[in-house]
Amino acid sequence: VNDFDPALVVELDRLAPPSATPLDWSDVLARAGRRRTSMGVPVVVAVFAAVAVLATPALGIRSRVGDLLGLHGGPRPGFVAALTPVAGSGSGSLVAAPVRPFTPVGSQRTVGFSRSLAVTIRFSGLSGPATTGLLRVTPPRGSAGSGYVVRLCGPCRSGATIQIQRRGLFLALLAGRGTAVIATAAHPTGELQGRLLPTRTMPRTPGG
Amino acid sequence: MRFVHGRRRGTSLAEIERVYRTRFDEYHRVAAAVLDDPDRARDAVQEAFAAAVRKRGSFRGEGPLEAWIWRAVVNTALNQRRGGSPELLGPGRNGDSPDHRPDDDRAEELRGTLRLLPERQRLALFLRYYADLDYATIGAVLGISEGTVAATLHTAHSALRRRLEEVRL
Repeated sequence: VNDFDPALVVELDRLAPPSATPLDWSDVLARAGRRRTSMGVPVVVAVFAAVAVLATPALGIRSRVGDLLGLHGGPRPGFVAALTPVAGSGSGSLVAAPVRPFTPVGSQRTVGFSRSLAVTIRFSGLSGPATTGLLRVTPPRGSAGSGYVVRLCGPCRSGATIQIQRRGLFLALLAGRGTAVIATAAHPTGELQGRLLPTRTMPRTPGG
Repeated sequence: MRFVHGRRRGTSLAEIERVYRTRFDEYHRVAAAVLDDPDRARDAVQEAFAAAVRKRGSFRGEGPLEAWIWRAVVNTALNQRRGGSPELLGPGRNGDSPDHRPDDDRAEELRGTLRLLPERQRLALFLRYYADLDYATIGAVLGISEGTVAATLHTAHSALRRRLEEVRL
């Protein structure tokens, strides 16, 4: 079936004559092992780096490298509080988020955040106009300090956004030591109150 | 030539070693034809078998183990050729020799003709003449059907015969 051309056989033999080349199976095995080692190390390093940069958000960890590269383009931490009546009636909410985030040129993602917080308060059903809005920050547990109060508004309008900035405030809120208070004339010590809780879903940044 | 078929999934180190020890000369000769350099050819065959050892778990047994290794050898030789000398069976091995003979002119003519052939035709010729492979195995190595192998070899034969006739005249 496979017809050879005798003339071609002669000519092709002349071009690539058979040669006695020594066999070396151990060299084959050594090459096989060497390649696996040389390829394995970079692969392991690359996989580790990818996990460190990309998977940490899924684990609840933000990597500095990912932040710098803008890879964690997802939501930034913010704070929310459900305002419930401690006296009188009504209900409301408070949303706080870092303002003026840095947005790299050509990117829709924000990187980093400032110490300023934009706070938006919404409320309804109060016994009267909101006279004062406060953010009460308690001292760290076990601390001898007395905490402090940050004034948000007064009088207050539902839906208004206030920017506040104070050293250590962000960390205090992250620790869950902030409580929002809305006072009215009928309840000057507070009609609505709610604890600010950190959230991984960044609230909309009003004016940010 | 009869081939022993590998397992359906993966193959053993011993089977690859058996192929290496029984078929090395044929692999080396084809690689030498592709690379026009016996030393580089040996390196290509060693590398191809090393790759076969590494990837032996991926051998699916759809064809002969030898054909699977042939493909590795041919691809490795082609890759080495692309990374080194661009010419396949390039001139100059005998042409500049001090003991130049008339036969060398014919060899050079044949080299030139081979160089002008499409790569598939050259590889089919090498596998047919240097490795004594049948059409089915050549097709498995080159990824073409037996009919295409026959047509490819026919075309290559015609071109080479024509050239050899011209040289003899």
